[in-house]
Amino acid sequence: MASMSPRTSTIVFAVLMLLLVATVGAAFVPYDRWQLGWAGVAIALTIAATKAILIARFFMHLSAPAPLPRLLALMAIVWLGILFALSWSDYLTRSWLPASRGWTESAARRESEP
Amino acid sequence: MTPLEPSPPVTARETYLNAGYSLKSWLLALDHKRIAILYFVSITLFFFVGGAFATLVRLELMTPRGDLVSSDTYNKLFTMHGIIMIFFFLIPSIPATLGNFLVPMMLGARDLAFPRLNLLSWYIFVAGGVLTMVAVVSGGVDTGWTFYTPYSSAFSNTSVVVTVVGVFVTGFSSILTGLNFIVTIHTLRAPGLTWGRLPLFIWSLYATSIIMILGTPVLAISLALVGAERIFHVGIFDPASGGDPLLFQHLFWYYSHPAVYIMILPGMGVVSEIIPCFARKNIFGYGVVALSSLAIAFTGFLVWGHHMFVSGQSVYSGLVFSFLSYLVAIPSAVKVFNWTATLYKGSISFHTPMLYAFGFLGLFTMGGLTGLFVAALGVDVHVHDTYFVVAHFHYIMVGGMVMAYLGGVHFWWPKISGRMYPEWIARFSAFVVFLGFNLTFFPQYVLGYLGMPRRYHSYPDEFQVLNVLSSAGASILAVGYVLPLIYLLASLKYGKAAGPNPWIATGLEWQTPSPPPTSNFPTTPTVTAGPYEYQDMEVPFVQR
Amino acid sequence: MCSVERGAQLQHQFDDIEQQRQADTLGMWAFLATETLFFGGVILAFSVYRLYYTKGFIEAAHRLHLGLGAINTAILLGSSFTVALAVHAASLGKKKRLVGLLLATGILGLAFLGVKFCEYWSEYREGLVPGLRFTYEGPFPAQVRLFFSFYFVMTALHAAHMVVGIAIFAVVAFQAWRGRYSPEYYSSVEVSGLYWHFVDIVWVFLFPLLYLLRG
Repeated sequence: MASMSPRTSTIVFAVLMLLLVATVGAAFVPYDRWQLGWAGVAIALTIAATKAILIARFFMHLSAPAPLPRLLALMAIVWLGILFALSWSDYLTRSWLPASRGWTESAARRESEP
Repeated sequence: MTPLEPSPPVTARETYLNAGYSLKSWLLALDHKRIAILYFVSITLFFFVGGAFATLVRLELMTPRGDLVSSDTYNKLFTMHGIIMIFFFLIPSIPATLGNFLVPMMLGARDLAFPRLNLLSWYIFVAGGVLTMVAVVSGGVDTGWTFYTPYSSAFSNTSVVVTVVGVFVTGFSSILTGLNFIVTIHTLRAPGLTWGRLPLFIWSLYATSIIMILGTPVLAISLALVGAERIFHVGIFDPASGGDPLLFQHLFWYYSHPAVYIMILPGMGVVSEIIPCFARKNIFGYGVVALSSLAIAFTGFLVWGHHMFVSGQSVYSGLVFSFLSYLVAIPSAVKVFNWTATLYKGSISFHTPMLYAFGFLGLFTMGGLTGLFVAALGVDVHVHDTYFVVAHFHYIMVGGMVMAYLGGVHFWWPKISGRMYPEWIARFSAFVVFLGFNLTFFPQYVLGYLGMPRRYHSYPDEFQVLNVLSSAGASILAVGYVLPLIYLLASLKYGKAAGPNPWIATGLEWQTPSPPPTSNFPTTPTVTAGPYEYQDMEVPFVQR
Repeated sequence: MCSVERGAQLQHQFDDIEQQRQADTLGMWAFLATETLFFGGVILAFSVYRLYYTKGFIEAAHRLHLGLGAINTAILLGSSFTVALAVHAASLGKKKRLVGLLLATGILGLAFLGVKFCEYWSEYREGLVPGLRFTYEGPFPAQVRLFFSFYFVMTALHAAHMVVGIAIFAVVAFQAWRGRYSPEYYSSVEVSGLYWHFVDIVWVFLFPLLYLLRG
């Protein structure tokens, strides 16, 4: 069973640390000043996903020949995707009709009065 | 009838039953068959405890006024009936009993992949059950088995925390069983046992296991958050603190809808084993039936919002969930069509397992069709939280699942115990169950349609007749459940010796002696044919 | 039927050691799938409130100790590194190196928990612990309280998983020291490594979600 050489592990670790520095640095960019709050979130999560993929592919041997671990990892992501997508479909469309916008309106009120 | 005299011991050879008589050999058993028996005992216990709560509910509902118990007590009764029946009977039932016993045998293996994990899962199940019983006797829980917030997280004065911890703990038992089955089915199949030759019982348990491992953790976190909110008043689901109660419902139903497929898929697997045997015919459309189990496992995760149509969820989201709910009915319907096609031109015999399978076919279909009624957003606005829904899910869970469980227990009883049960008493009992069931639950469809709400202990006078019919049916149903308990236990001593294959069924489990030896097979068998080659067998009709 | 190869033991339900190893690995991945959904559930809840209470959550995030969080991330990434090296050492049968690396991983894990404890302690002193001591008087009090509820629930669940992982490594290190593993079978090391890497991945997501979304 193939295991990773120390050289590969070291390179991956170095890249992970670089990504850590990058993501901390990116957190200090004043996104709100340019109405780009969501960019900050997207950047942080993209870097996080990259780190996760590196850890999974290299440290956790997800690139090994056996297909089942990859399938299970993929299924976990897909099922998580289902949870997020369908739950968010509720929250993002609640304000479209008066019947359901009660909580979202009270949430907006809370946000507007510090 | 010959006078009752104990039959001679089944055999003098080593079986899993006589390989050690001490309590320790049972409580520390690693043999999957012994662990299955441990589960049988605990699950039967919980079934009757849950049944006791149902009895009290039906007694109260015989009169329109809430006069047997207070409304607070009534809330506790239906809550505890639901929690015990769902988490401590229906979800573990077939997988932990018949599944644990049969999966290695059907695969030609010596045991599951992780026997110690299997034993651990039983202990976890018992621990969760004990905790929940502690909650029951220390004041009960009155939130409904659905634990809706903010009542459960902030306002209820009952033992919510102990209960959610008990259910949380039991969830791990489910996860470990599912994990064990998935790994076993992938790695321990006998030579020649390709995926296309697996018994459909295995396919359905495989699909069940996928749901168990991907769904149960979300229940765990939703209950953990309720517990955290109760203890630390964190306000995650409390509107007064800015929380959204619906968020709990999303997390809860993400598991609890697929959970109903955890409950029914194994029953469908049992029916897929029984029908070919007692029709002496290969299953119609093996591949489609196998894949339909996987389809149910996947699509079952897409529909949870249909429990939340009138909760304040976005109507557009509700439309999506309603549409997806129609999709999930398709693979179930496919199975019903294929079972029916299997029966066509078969040599049908009406032994007890087959009677239960027929009961399943009819009652599951009715329950499933009424599922389409409630999946329609417009209809559900009227029948949500009425007895229509109660009837719908009891038709599937009791008319479907419990009958499949009883059918499976009877089908494999000879293998498990080495004894035959008394056939005529068992057939009578099956009819009692069928009659009692329909008398109990059919009136509830009408009651719900007429507007009687669920979870109420008093109701308008005009609903009394139907309620009395329902309660009368429940008493008959109870008899139907107590009878097998008695005659199956009696058969352990008085039943005829069964022999390895009393039904002349296909399947590797029938190639072993009854009861089987601890290691199942002296040498690993090699499989060269499909699972239901009844047409190749010499025996056209099951004789007894 | 039961063969003992330099300490590794073939269990009776398996035909050969490779089958057992595959089963062990598959079993751990199935377990990690469940953990993904477990943490995913609470992250979903967090994400919903982050959408609706963006300003309040940003305000709250500023009150976390970003530096300590970053140090902890580095510690945990380092511990994944040592685990990867440990698995490699096991595959070569280098016992001393294996034990050393496993112990190093455990120590890094304990260091993480130590830093976390310091953070918790200072947050308690600052009155930011809902349910125990919450004396926050600044803007968006309800939202900040909600944020800190999530912070403590998520990081406590993560820390609990780390405690389990450290305990597992202690056991595995002890077994390694006793010579239980060989290049033919070191499944326990691999499988505990998978678990640890997963716990690291969870933190890789918790860190930005909690500490880095500062507006």
